[in-house]
Amino acid sequence: MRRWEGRTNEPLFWALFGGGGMLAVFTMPVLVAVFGLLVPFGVFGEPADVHARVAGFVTHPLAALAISLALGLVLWHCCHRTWHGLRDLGLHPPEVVRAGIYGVALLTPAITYALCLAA
Amino acid sequence: MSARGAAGPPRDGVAGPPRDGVAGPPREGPAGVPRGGSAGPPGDGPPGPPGSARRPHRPPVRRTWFLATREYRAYALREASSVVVGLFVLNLVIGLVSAHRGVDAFTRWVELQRSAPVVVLTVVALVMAVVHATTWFQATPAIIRVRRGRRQLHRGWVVLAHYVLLAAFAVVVVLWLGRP
Repeated sequence: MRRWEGRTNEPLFWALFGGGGMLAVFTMPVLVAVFGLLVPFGVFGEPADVHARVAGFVTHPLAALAISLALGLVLWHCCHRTWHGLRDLGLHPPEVVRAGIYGVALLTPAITYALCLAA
Repeated sequence: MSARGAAGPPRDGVAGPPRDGVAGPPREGPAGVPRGGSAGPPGDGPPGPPGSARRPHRPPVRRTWFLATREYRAYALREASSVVVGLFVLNLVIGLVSAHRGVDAFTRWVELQRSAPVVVLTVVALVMAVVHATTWFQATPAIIRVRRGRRQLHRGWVVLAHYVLLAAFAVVVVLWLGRP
């Protein structure tokens, strides 16, 4: 027990944060532009055509798992910074808020994957 | 403060109070996180009696400090990007599930992307994602140093490599969606 005295779990959380940030900078500008603007406004054809190209890869159970985890990691990064942003603003929200923010980051990939498998 | 000094081992009692005092201004950062004690995440340590609860020093900070200088504004904009990008990740996740549900569900999700509120979110998220990515790329030479013999690789190459990776991902996605 004594060995763990004074240690923190911060490195673990920071590793998740760093990994999510690395993923975010390389993927998010592209994903936002493509799936937020180009696909909806028909650059890649009708939604049904896009679905036909996307579904083969995306609906594979392992691909869905990988995508859920990757998006979850990015979301963890965002939630981590949102929480620390609140503190930067001089707000000191109660622990419930912290649990809620990180809870969203933890539960979203799990629920997403469950819904993908159930679909 | 006094409770902590009295309760901890002697060594801790000496090191503790000054460290807390130093960690305070200008605003609390990672240094303010205690190495022990009950202020960490819930369940981090045994809760002490009410009298020994830690009362962290919170230096008075103006609510609008982040507007004061250009650097602060840039920092605040960068941190704010995480909220919007996070919301868009939630949107993407719904798209992933709808792709699993079938063509109809996916078509409905794509049409939802054309509604005004979602377009606003998307445009803001795109700007914020680009701000987040480019500012990070500019910062990477500070942590990634490539040695070539006695000299360092010029920082410009490190930044360029990140842009190339971003472009490579864009090409992969566009080829994937644009293939016949």
